[in-house]
Parts: sequence; structure tokens; C-alpha cells
Amino acid sequence: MDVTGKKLGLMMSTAPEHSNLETVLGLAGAALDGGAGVYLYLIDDAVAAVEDPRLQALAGRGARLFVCAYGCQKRGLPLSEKATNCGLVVLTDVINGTDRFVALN
Amino acid sequence: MARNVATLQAPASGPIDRTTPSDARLRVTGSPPVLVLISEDPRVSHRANEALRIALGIVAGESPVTIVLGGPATRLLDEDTDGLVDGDDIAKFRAALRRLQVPFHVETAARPADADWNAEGHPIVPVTAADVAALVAQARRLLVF
Repeated sequence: MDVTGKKLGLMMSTAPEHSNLETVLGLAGAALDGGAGVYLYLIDDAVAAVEDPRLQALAGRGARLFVCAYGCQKRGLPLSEKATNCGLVVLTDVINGTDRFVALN
Repeated sequence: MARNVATLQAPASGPIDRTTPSDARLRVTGSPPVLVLISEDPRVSHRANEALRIALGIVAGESPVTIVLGGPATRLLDEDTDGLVDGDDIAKFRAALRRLQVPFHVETAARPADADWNAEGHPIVPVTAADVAALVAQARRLLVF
């Protein structure tokens, strides 16, 4: 299946310890390998994963990394400079603007 | 912040319905809804509230949303929110969704019998498991909590 130029949206809401992170890494990595664009939105407990080196490596390969600013604030986490801090408007854009969207909760 | 998504374009968009009453909100019609299916128990987990918040955020983004409450998530409509995790937020989000005339699709088998359940009279659409399956099949996007 040729995914070149396609857009994959991912949302993760679980803590970094959850196996969903591995799933995200696998899906995003495969999509990037195939030439697709990847848009990953971290929300709820997943905001703690924003500076995970594996996610940052995806960003280094071109994945767009977004993190819920409200979720960071609620947990007393500083806003990261390694992702785009944003709100649900951007999540809606990712949901609506990608060819495929997968939510991992 | 939005620059990172500036290149995102919806694969398909429908006509704009400009007949929406009262608040003149514009909705993109003609596209299947985003389905937010919640089964987390708001009495023990904050995730039910978070799912409600996300649903409201998507609605605010002018996207059609169908919210389904299954299992213990039907407790999101308990009159007394003091017993719910993030109960104050739940009350606020419920009120906002009611103002926007977004109904809750409630799994019939999980509907509490308490007399004060849904005391605010939020619009309800009773659904069976088969109905939920059909809603999932029709949805453009699916978020399951």
C-alpha cells in the first residue's frame, strides 16, 4: 500500500508506561518509512511523554508533535519547547485533516 | 502554534449549513460524525471527564459529534456530581453540550434507574448495543474511552 503523501493522525491519552506508546512508535515509524506525514497529539496522561527520546526521534524524522497545554497545566508540568503546545482546536484539525486517524486511549 | 497544521486540509468537506438557530454557529454538514464512545466510570476515573472535554472541544470546532455513554459512563449524567472525579468540570461540560443541543446516546441496558439521574433533562437518545455498532460503522472518526 502506497502511503506516500498521505497524512496519519494519532492521538494518545495514556501515560508513557502504557503499551500504547509502543503502538504509536510502531505506527508512526511505519508511516514515516512509507513517506506519509505523521501528526501526533498527546493529551491527558500522555502529555508526560512529550520529551520521550523515542517520540523526539520521530519529530526529528518529520513527525509533527503536539501536546495539550491544558493537560500539562493541570499536572503542573512545564510547557515543553520540544513540541507544539496547543488545545483542542488543533486536535480537531488533526482529526479532520488527516487521511487516517487513530486514537489510543 | 497553528503553523504546524497550516498544511492540513480536510479530505472532504460538505456544504455549510447557515440555518443553525440562535447562536448562528456554522456546522459542516454532509460528513459523518466523529463518534466519542465513553465507558469509563466517572466515579473512579478522570478519563470519563476528559473524554467529555474532548467531545466538547470537537463540537466547538464545528465538527458533528455523536457522544455515546455505555456501561458506568452513564453516571456522567448523575445529578450529584460531587461523587464524580472532576465533578465540577463534568457539570460545566454537560451544560455546554446541552446549550449546543448535543444529545447523549445512552446504552439502554446501562441506564441507571435512579430517579434523579439526568435531573437536568439533557436530551437522550436510547441505544442498544446493535445501535452502537451501527453508529461506529457510520462514524468518520472514532474515539473510545
